Amino acid sequence: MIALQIDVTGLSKTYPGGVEALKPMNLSISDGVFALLGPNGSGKTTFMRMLATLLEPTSGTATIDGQDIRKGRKQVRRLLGYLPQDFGLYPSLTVEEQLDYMGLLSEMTAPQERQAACERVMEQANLTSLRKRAVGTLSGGMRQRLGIAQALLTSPQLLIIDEPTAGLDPEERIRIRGLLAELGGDRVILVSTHIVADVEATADALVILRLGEVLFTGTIEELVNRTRGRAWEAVVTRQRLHELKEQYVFTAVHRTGGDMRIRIVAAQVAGADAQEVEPTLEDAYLDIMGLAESEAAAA
Amino acid sequence: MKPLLLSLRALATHEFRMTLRGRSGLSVALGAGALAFADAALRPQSPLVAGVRASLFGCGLVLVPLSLALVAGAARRDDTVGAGDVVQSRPFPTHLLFVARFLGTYTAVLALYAVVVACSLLCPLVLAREFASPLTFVHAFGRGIVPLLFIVALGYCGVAVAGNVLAAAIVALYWLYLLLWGDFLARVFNFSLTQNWPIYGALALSAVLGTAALRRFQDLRRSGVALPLAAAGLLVLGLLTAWNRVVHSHDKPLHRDPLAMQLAAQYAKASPRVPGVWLPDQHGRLWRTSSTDGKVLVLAFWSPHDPDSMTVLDDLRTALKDVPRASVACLAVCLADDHALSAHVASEGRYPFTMVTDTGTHFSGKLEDCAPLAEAFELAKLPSVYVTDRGHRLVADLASEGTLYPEGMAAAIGRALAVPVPPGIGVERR
Repeated sequence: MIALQIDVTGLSKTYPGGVEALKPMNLSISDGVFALLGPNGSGKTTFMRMLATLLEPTSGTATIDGQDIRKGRKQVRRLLGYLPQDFGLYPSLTVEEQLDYMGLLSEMTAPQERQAACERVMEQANLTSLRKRAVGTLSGGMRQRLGIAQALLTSPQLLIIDEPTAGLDPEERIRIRGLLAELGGDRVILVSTHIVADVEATADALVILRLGEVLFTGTIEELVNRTRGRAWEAVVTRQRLHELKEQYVFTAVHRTGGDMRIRIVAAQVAGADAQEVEPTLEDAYLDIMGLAESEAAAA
Repeated sequence: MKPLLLSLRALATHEFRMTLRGRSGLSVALGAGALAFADAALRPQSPLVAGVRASLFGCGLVLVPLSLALVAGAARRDDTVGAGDVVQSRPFPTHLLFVARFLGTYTAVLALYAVVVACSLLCPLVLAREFASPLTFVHAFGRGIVPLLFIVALGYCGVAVAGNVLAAAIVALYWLYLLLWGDFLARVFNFSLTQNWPIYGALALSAVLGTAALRRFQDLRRSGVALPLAAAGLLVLGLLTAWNRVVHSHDKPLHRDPLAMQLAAQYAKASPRVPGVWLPDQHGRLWRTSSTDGKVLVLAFWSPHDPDSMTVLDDLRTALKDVPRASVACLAVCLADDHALSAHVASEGRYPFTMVTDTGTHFSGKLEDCAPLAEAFELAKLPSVYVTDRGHRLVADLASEGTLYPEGMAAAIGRALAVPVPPGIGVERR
């Protein structure tokens, strides 16, 4: 299958009232699972809603498989499956009916075609045994799986999923991650999250956003490499911990006996017996965010 | 086109299910049905009366507020459950989804109305072992189709455009205003009257298509031509029909029809002859008093708004059984602002006499002011029956005499038949 191409050129969004949710962004996405990582309010959802043709950009444009998101909304919608962060489904319908309804909205006019698609996605999302359950009675994880199932109905070439694991228990989170990893084989998946572990488990490449600005675009490996030589680990007393907190970005703090084992990202660590360690994605993420904050503070 | 229609139908079916399924749907249907049954139980147990009450009480007082609540929920459903983005990111056009949802909700309202009518007609069966004819059901149900279409369209589009359920409350206030202050309004504003169907049918469709066009523009930034044109065309058609209806009818305070004014200007007490009548009968043909020259004339007044008065029709049928029909003409005058009611009652009851509707009837607190003929006869109460001799001179006013029962009617007709026709006395004709 030829991979779908997304080209973003100068795309930005300023909401009425002057809130600049996304600064002009340039991006090219071609295949695999692409993660949007950033804290709340960084512009991830705004970007995704614009790609899903639900929000009018203030400037710039994006094309999905050559279709402009402004001019060819209907064509773009035919290419994508979208799962928003906060989504609701009709509580009185059963899982099966909900999917059938979404199939109709996806222009699947033939009942047999819809039924086959519903069976397929229920199987994929492990919902077959829940087919007769009313949507209103599903747990959070089940609802999330149903959300992904509805997004998959048309076997879209582009899947846009906003914060799929937010608010889920660990078991459901792992299940959703597994599902996303499985789905990424033959389509582009654009997944947003503020949970670094989700990116680590599912994504091939990522964009890091902060306050509507792109801080990094590339693979996980490239991001981690940027932090190589800047990740440190040390065991310190509680009192020392408080002193170091003022100076460095901590990526982890664990209790070890009466002392604390800390993980720091910095060029150098003074005042502690720190050892350089292999950086993780979390280190790299916090490093880049910390640098951006320092730059912003300096400016 | 066919796949699109199939999708519209399937989506409307889903909407229907979402509106009525589950315990809440069942409770709504049972509640509405129980109200209709209770209303029928408070009235004389004739299926005809129950059929009329089904459309007056069931449609007007039960279904109108209920349907406004349902459409307000349907129009805001995506926002309420938070499914807006999921639905809108689908390629199916949002304006067509809007139409499909309207159709589904409207069908659900009609289904509830069918329950209401059925419960109304069940009452005479349960309490008096009287079966309603299927025609009664069809007529009662039919009388609600366009009023409910209008109210559902207005509420649904209002809530969709305003984005607030208060729009449905405003529509409810409009209906309340019609109910409470009908005395001061021209009938043309009453969307529940069957003669106003073309007006409000066109306006309802115009509202739906216009809002759909707006939805299309909001979603795709393209307005298209067909939808706005169709909406505008229907709006103009509705308004022109309304204008035409007003200028060709006795619809005070907007317009007074000269013929109806002449009808009202005849005074029973000023002449030995009873006032003449020229009004359309149940088949739509003009009936004139002059067509009964040389016959004894029985004139009965009734109104569907006074269910007790409807018993006069059955009494009259009984009274006419043993009278020579060639010498007696009978006319039942219906005082109703809805012009189809008397025709419906005539066909449901298969009455062996002519029925006319006083088309100048207007909702009024005073009986003698409510219709030109009521004014002409200085009608004091309903039902009223007048019997004339062959020269159409008043022989008996049965309501005043207190003989409003079949035997009393037959006796009065017998007395009238015995009066010789005075030579040279004709009836006032038009």
